[in-house]
Amino acid sequence: MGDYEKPSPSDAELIARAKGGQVEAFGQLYERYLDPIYRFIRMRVDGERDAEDLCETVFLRTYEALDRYEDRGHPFSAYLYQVAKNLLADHYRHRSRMEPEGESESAGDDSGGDRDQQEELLGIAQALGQLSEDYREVIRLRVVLELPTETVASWMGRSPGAVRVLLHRALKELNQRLDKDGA
Amino acid sequence: MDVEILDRCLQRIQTHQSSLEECLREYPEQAEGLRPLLVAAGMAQRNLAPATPTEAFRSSAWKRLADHSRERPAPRPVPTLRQPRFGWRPAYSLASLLIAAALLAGSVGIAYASGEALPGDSLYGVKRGLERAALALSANGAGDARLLLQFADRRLGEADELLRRGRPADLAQALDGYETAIAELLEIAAQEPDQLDEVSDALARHELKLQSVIDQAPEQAKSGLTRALERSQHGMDTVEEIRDENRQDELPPGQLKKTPGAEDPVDGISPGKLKKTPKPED
Repeated sequence: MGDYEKPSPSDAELIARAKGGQVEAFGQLYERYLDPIYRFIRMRVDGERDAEDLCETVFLRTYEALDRYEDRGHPFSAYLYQVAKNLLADHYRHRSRMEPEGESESAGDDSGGDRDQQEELLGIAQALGQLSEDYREVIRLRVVLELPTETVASWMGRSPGAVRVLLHRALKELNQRLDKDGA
Repeated sequence: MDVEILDRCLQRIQTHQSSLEECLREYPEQAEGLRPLLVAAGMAQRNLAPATPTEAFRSSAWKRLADHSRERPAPRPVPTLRQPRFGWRPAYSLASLLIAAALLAGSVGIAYASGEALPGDSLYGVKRGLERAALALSANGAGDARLLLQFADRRLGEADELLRRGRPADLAQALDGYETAIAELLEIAAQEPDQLDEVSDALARHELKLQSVIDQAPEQAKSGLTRALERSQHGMDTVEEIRDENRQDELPPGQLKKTPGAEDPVDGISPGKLKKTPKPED
């Protein structure tokens, strides 16, 4: 049997196989989307452990609900993103019962760094925190996670054109906030 | 500023095809507006970019997930009750033409007039066509469920009105519509646990309504009404099955919205189902 490179199966194929009981097919989906989903969650929670637990739960729940998953023309990653968002909302609700503070942007690297770096980090986190949720989300997805515009559009349920406009407005306001705060 | 250019520059910087300065040189007329936005984007990315998952987590989480999936039976396919939303349905072809004609003629009067139409009336197809159009335009499952509940109520109201007007021959169309709406509703409810209470209340209401109508209905209408009643009762059973399944799994299915009053799902997973990442002791 000669080796030849098979094209990667599409999400739809993998979902169909996973629905049929092939755990390995779901494993391929897990490998495909673990990074963006984990990073999206990690950006929104303070601790690595919390991010890991939430991320693992996203995939577990998705697998559990796979038999009811319907392809409605949106990418599978958009579904995972929605599950992650729901879990994050529950996470914040749960946390707010113990801590009155709201959601905070989690820094990419919260250890070390010189004083200037720390000031810049604080400035950008504060400026971002002052933006509307839509603006923050488009900056998180398109700028910080560097997801393609089309992916951001499908995750946010908007057209790519609308995402570009939103991003422009969001960056403009972020820049104004940074100027104002002297970052 | 052209938002396309901003996006293009961002993409090129992110994929290391260009530096910020190279992008600005390429669009000199936009450079003044572009620079601060790209600088702000760079600051956000540099400071907030989260780490990727560790290899240890990647493999241990998958192992737990795979072990868990082997402990339970493979996901079973749910029979599809729903017609394709945009599928061709001959019953609505006339309606589509009438709607298109009404819109082209700039008249929406026909659409309003169809609101009171009953099965057998000339505008009934328009009424049903408008309902399908509303369903197609609904943004999410919760919106679909609300509409389908309205449609199911409407179909029973039509059945009642037809009997009052002495038109039992037209009853079948209303009752078929009721059964279709309930079947679609149950399919959505399986994915939208938040809707289960509302669906259950509606089905209980329908059951009472149908029972009262059957008592007074002429003989020829009774079999259709009885079938609708059975559908409604079966629907109640299905809702309970969905609830039981959710309780057993302790996980909300489908779109995974949290059911009111449910425990926090992160903590709501039973230890036997998923061994969470061990936390260091404080």
